[in-house]
Amino acid sequence: MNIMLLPLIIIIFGSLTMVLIIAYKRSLAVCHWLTGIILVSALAAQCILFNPESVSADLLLFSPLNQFLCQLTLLIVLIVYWPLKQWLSQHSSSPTPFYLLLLWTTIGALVMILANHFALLFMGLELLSLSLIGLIAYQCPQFRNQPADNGSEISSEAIGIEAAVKYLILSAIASAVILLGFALIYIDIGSLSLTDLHQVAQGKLLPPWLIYGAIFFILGGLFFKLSIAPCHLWFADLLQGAPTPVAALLSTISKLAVFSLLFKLLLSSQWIQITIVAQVIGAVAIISMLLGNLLALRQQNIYRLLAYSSIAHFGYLLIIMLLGNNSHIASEEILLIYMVAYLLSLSGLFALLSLMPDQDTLEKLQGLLWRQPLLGICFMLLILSLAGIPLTIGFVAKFYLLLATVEQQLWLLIGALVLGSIIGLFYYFNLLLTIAKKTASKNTTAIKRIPIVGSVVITLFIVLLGLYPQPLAQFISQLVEQ
Amino acid sequence: MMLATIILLPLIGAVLAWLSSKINANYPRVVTLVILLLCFLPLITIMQQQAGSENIGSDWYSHFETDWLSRFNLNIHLAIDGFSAMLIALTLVIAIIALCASWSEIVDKCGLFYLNLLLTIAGIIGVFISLNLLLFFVFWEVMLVPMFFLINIWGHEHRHYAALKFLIFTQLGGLLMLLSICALGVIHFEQTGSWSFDYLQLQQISLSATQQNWLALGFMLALLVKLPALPFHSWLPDAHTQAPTGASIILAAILLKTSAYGIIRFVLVLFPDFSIQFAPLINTIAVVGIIYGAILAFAQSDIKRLIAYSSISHMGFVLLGCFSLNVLALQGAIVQMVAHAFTSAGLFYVAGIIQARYGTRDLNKLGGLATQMPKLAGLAMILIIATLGMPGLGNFVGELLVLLGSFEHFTLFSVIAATGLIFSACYCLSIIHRAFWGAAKEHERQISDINAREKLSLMVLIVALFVLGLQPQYLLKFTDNLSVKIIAISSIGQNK
Repeated sequence: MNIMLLPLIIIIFGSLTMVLIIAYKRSLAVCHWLTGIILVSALAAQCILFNPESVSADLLLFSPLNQFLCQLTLLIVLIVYWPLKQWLSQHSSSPTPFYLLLLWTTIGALVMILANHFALLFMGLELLSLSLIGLIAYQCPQFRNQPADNGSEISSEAIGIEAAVKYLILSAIASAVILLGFALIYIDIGSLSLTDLHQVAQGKLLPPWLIYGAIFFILGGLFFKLSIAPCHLWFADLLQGAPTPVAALLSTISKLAVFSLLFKLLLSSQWIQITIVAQVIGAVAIISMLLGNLLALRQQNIYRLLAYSSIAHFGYLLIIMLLGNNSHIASEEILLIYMVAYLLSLSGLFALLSLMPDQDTLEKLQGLLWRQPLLGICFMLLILSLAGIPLTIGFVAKFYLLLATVEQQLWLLIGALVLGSIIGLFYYFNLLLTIAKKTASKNTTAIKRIPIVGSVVITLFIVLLGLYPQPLAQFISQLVEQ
Repeated sequence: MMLATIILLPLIGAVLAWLSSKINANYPRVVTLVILLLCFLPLITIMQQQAGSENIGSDWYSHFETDWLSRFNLNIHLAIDGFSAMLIALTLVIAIIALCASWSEIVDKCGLFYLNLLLTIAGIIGVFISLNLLLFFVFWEVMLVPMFFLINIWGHEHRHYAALKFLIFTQLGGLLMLLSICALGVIHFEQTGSWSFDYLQLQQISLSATQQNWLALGFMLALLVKLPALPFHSWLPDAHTQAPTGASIILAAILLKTSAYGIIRFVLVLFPDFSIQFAPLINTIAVVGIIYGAILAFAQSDIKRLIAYSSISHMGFVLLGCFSLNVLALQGAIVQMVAHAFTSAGLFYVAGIIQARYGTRDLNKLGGLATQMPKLAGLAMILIIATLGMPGLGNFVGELLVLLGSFEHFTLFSVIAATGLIFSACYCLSIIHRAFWGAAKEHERQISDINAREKLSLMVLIVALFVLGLQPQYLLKFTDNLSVKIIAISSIGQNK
């Protein structure tokens, strides 16, 4: 057995142990600490075992890229996990299974990132989706009641279940479509290994239209899972309905795992060489950038706003698929730096939001800077990073992307990128404007110190890397060269 | 290392000012004052080391280089020449004036105010001394965000709208400039095989005319928005009017100058063909701005709005001076930059004083101030007359040099721009007439004349204007060689 599997094994055995412990005694504290130990040791194992060479282990492939993405996933889960205890003790009467589902989601994401074979990949995808459905429908906080159109309040539980059903149906359909696509490809090339997928373009057995059909089935399914335009309609409802930590998982590690698959299919398997695929990806990227930003413009709910901004950000990220082989900045490099910048900022923001679950609309966020200065400043810096303002890591990522796009002279995409960023600035700064407004209300909910420390550390990290990106950039460029 | 301290001092000072507000609400302004005074030390040291050498004002000195992002060969490259040194000194002086203006005006969240003020100053100084284009861009953005907060938190009635408008306008320009900077880096990579965003190295690459036009377009849009030139000026009256006095002073007196600096330092040098080809177009924008700003200023009844529109008019002269491609005009533009910094700072200060005393900026509600506040009226009169372009005061020298210089290649523009002086006389005299003279209106408040701090600040500005007007050579010797060098680059292009 390969030693590289250790992080996965730690999480799997850890979660099984937790099942046994929960069966014996349901204790929030025990589960919390156990999850913490599992996640930290998995992350430590992943870092210690880091191997600059590609290691293949049957169905899994431990390339440097995959390993780095695994580290990032574990780090994000840790950020989401950090304020979880306080959140769960406030909002849930039976908090323990939440940790189990969290760990299983993590396993799903890791397997998806590492998988080199379709069977395993699909298992990871389903594990991720099914655990997330459980998490979305998890007893929702009573705070986030939404007034319905006729004035009566819909119970939060109903919203949670509505969101879960939406996700269940859409994700099942998307999975089925992906499965169909792979089945068709299997007929053609007779292999389910991702390394053989580049043969698809040659079309041995099936007519080309069927091969293209298969490719678009797979891409369509992935677009749904990534919620990029035009398959984005469900995402805002979901983030609004899901509990805050789950919203964080949905918009970070779930998307990271799916995007890494898309990246492998398009670039490693060279599907992007097919003209029509490239055209579709370009169109989808432009629509996502513009539509995501435009829809975010008038949102009053911060979760909906972040949902649409996430659509736009993944639109930006799709640009790297179209860079071509002769680019002097490798796509992997931009992928990694952008993922680190965007996902860390976003998960930091979600961790912060889960500290104040009653403040979900712009109106309720008013004056945050004065009510809770420390949280307000962290919030501000994280938003600046999302907006890509210099001296945050967000700017470094934007610079990489812009430089590569300019180098390849993709003017249409640059136009959309610039336009999208400007529209984006409008709502990000509107958010900053809101939190800096002076308000009369002084209702401050006491927040424990430990969860805040997590957010402060993330914010510091983001600003320090923005001030001096050298270590991260150096590490990533070495990683990619190998 | 000396140069790095000029930027680091305000940065550290910003944090100190903020922290000190926890101890005592009065400390932040004292900390800010001390920090700003301390900033003069490294500047004076550097200048003294250079004082002996002949070529002051032409060479870069006191280089500071360190790695920042070696993947793209990005280094933190700071250096100073006569032009930058002069602008940094100006920045520090104006910052102290702005501090004086905010001294008693800002009482709410004092620490945070001075944090943002010092961050803006750090950004502006950074813009003036970075020799790496990406670093220049970073500082360019860094000064905008704190300014956004200054307007947004401490501004007047429509501050949120004004702050957002200011930010969106300037950021749109900024993004286009970032694109151009990226493209310059890429072209350098294609020509030499290594990445570079260094100003000195980017001067070595050869650009085709088309490339120059597109790249310069990105730069020019960012700079014209900030200058501001027609038709991108509409953020300025709002931002100026709504900002607190201190921020208005910084905004008008030095933030606008960063864009003139950008034109002189980057556009004229890196894109000489563009400058020659598009000079008529840009000069048209400049001249229209001069006339349009002056006419609109005349129509305003809000004092701050009036001064804001007069800024558009005066910055038009700077733009005309930059693109007249003539040493005289370029020197004029530089003098005009400095003179406008002093007059606009002074006028906004006066507007702030009037608003604090009377609670209004509306000229229709004011009148007869001269009887109630004779000292303010006297000092304000000199500032207004300087704005109008009276010989013997700074603005006259700037405007005269610009008009003289532009007459050589752009006669018609020069003639039309000269009529702007008549318009400026109209609005200047109208302020004096409507605000200071006439019958004093009844006011409920007890009005006291200006105090020693206010008097001193205004006196400093007035003395500076007189020195500039009577002996501009003090200033011109710093930029003499630079102007000659820049015009030489542009005219080489002209011969092609």
